[in-house]
Amino acid sequence: MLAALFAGQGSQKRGMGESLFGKYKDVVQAADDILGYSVIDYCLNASNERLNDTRFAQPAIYTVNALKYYEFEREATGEKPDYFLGHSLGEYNALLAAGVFDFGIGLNIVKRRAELMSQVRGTGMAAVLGLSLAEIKDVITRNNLSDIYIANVNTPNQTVVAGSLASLNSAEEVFFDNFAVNYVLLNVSGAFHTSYMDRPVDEFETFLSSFEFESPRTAVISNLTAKPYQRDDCVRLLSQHINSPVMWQPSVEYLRIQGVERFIELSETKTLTDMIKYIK
Amino acid sequence: MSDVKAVLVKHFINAVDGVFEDSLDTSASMKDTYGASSLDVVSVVSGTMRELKIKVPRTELKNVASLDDLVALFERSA
Repeated sequence: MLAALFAGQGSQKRGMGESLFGKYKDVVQAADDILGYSVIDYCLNASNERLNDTRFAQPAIYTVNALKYYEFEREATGEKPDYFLGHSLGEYNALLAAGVFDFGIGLNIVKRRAELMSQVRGTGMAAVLGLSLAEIKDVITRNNLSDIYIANVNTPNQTVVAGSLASLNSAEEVFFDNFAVNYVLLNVSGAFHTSYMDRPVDEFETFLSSFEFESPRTAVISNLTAKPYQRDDCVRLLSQHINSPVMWQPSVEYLRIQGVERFIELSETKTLTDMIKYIK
Repeated sequence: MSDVKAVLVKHFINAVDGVFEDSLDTSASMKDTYGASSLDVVSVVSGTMRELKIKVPRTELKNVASLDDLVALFERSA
């Protein structure tokens, strides 16, 4: 069985989507109308600062991922994915591909999501490599790193933590003292997927409730639960998504148990494919 | 082969597809020659650190390209 994967923030690159914009002019026009600026101009010319600003990065990644999916659909020789799975923001592309909403609705939601998430300042995220989740939790507890939270459960050797910038900086040494192999501050503007995002959740939930969602035509695995989406759960799963850890590793484990052996990543980078290798 | 090298080679072969001990060039770049990703290198370093109970200074890890570089780093840190 086949699963299609969509990356989230961190996968953005200047020049992304360049080979696809010309083929999907309607989609690009729709994106520009919703966003009020040129997606092409952003993707090709944005400064590093703007490229890493979640307000702009999220809608752009969603758009480029969507084009990659449309291209995949067009070129696919009959084989359709049995499952869709996105990493963080990528979950919106998974839901789009499964027909839960159309491109425009998805982009409107992503735009609002990005605006709300960008309101949280002075925080960030870091990837801790070489320690298991249990070891990281242990380090956090034993060293009273009370402002460090688990944000992404990615692989047995890679977990993303998040917190205030000051806490992230002082946690680095602590993790290295405890056998971490690497500690990489991520190019994101906030402590996503932690309780730092509590305040936007209610407002986002209200916003989501104003939309009609369809049942997924193909199973989409939720980052929150590591299980398939049900239509009635969309509002809850998407609103709680932003202040809850991304359960990537359990999601991939679920897929493997269901019999998925092949994964195709429809993103700018191959980070997800790289991670999959380490999840049994 | 020294213990350190043997352990590193073992973890490297486990981590990266299509690598075999008899044809492995430990002076070659892990990423450029063998297509190892950053996560592959983490897996090799982490596994070796735990097995040999040696911590390596992470500031030096970014200067590492080949398995021989890793051997030298681990031997310095032991």
